[in-house]
Amino acid sequence: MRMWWWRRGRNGAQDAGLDAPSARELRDEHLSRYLDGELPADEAAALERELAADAEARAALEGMRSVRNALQALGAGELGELRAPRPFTLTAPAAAAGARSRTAPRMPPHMPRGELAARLGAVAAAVALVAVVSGDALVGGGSSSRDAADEADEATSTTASAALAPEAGAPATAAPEAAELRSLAAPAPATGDDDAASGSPAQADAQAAAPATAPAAAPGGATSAPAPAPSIAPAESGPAESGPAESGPAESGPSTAPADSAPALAPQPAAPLAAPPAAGGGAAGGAADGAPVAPPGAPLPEGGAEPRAGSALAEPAPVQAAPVEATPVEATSEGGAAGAAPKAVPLSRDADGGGDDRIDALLAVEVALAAAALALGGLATRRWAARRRDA
Amino acid sequence: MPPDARAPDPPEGAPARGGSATPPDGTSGDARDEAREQAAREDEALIRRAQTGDLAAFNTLVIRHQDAVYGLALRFLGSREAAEDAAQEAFLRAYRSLDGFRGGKARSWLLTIVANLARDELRRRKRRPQRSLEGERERFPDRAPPEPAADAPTPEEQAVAGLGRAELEAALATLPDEWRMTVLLADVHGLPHEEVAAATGVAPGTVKSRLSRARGRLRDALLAGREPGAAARRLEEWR
Repeated sequence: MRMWWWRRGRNGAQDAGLDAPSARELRDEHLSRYLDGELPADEAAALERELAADAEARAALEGMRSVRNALQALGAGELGELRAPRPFTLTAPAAAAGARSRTAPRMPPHMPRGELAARLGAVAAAVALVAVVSGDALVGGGSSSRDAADEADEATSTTASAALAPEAGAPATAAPEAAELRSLAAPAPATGDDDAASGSPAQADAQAAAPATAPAAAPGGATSAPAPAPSIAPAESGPAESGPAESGPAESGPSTAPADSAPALAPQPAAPLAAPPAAGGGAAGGAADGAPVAPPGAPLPEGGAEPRAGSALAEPAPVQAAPVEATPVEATSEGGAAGAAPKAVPLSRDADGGGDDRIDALLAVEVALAAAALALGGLATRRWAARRRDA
Repeated sequence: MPPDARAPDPPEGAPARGGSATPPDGTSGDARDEAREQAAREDEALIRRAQTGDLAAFNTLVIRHQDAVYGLALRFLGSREAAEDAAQEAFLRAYRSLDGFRGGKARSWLLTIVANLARDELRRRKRRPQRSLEGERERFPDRAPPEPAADAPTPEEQAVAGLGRAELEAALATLPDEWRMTVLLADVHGLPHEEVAAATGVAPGTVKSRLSRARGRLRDALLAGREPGAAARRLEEWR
């Protein structure tokens, strides 16, 4: 009789999903339930009879009662160091953030003002660069009598229209201006992805020209939601089609004007095949036109960092941090022309615009813009990296 | 029934039958219960106001319960820094889930939230034990490391020279995690077993088993090698 709980407690303990209890633990379980008033009356009466006759059991019970009372006293006693070290009250912003996260969970933290400014600045510079380079390209293409800005406008609209006509987008049939633009832009996709280039006649050249475009492009693209364009483009379009361009303007323009992203569309036909580096390729698209220009003067030391900026927003793997060394203008333009893949129309600025002062001036502007874009992009990247480190 | 030669002290009053869960100083028990009921009603009113967007009401609730919430996290995690994080996060989550509060005791609700956060944190820490436990012990020096749960020292090893609150805290820290959480919620914070079961995601029977084993181990740790009556009295002295 004395050991009755050893036998009776086993089932209950197995319910608990604990290790097989020892006899002592089984006894303690009965004592504990007894203390808490949870033993059925008949079992409680039997236990009391046992306790009356067994001093060891009594001691076990009293020890357990003491422990339980002491534990309860812990909760009611002095707090000491258990007192909250500071008020955990919520501030209005925190509460608002909490409330917001009810509807939009996992929003990224607020971007510091400086980083935002740097990113916007990089985008603006890249956009300006694109505009100027577009004009430059047109000048080189022979329409030199018009104002550069006008040309840029026309260039973008032409590109957009060409891009929006997928069927007509066959390389050879594209409007001349658009073709030229593409020829400049082509390097960008090439950087982003070898697959795209492999579909083109002169991949080697395209890739050679590519590195120069990437760095300039990345900072701009970094801010302008690089992910959507490339990720959508591949889904919808064959490599040779200019179809993806349609998604381009729609997707890629958060704060930047659609006109700016228009030139970015040209390269995208190449992007479709891009898998991992797609973000970079797409990001590069916007500034792809800067390719011919970037090499000469653009300081590209942080080229490795730029692509990261691009990939920061778009999860996909970083782009090519690859060769950033300046590629001579000639090489770029030619390479770009050759590597413009499906629809490239060779464009040799040197041949056309040889010693034109206007082009030199434009070149200077482009270099300055590219440098600005790079610097701001680098700044944004560094700030982003620092923030990420802190997080 | 064998006569027990070692039974010098008679049972200190026959254990109360059935509902012996009332504290020994049962005289004040009713008053305490009454006060708790009153506090619970006030809490509920605060929650109702908070649900309408009254942040001040919610913060009043925070102030009322932050010591309990933080204390539970600290006793469970053993690190002040981690406990602060858990407590702050718990109140933030509580605020976010105000809409889902369906009555009941605000205190239990808040303790359940922080208990889950603390358990998650401990699990996470075990998966990535990169954090130095040494540093944490420094911040909470009079506690044993929170880890040794699995291979807790034998009760004899835990016997301490002088009984006191610090010893009980240290013994608590040696319990397996789930036992410790059960004891903290049920005994230290006084949650009913059903609420403890809900908070820890187990059946009420499991709560009872964990509770009994934890109490038994604490008793053995604290009273091992001592003359039972004296040890019990010393434990009572803490109160």
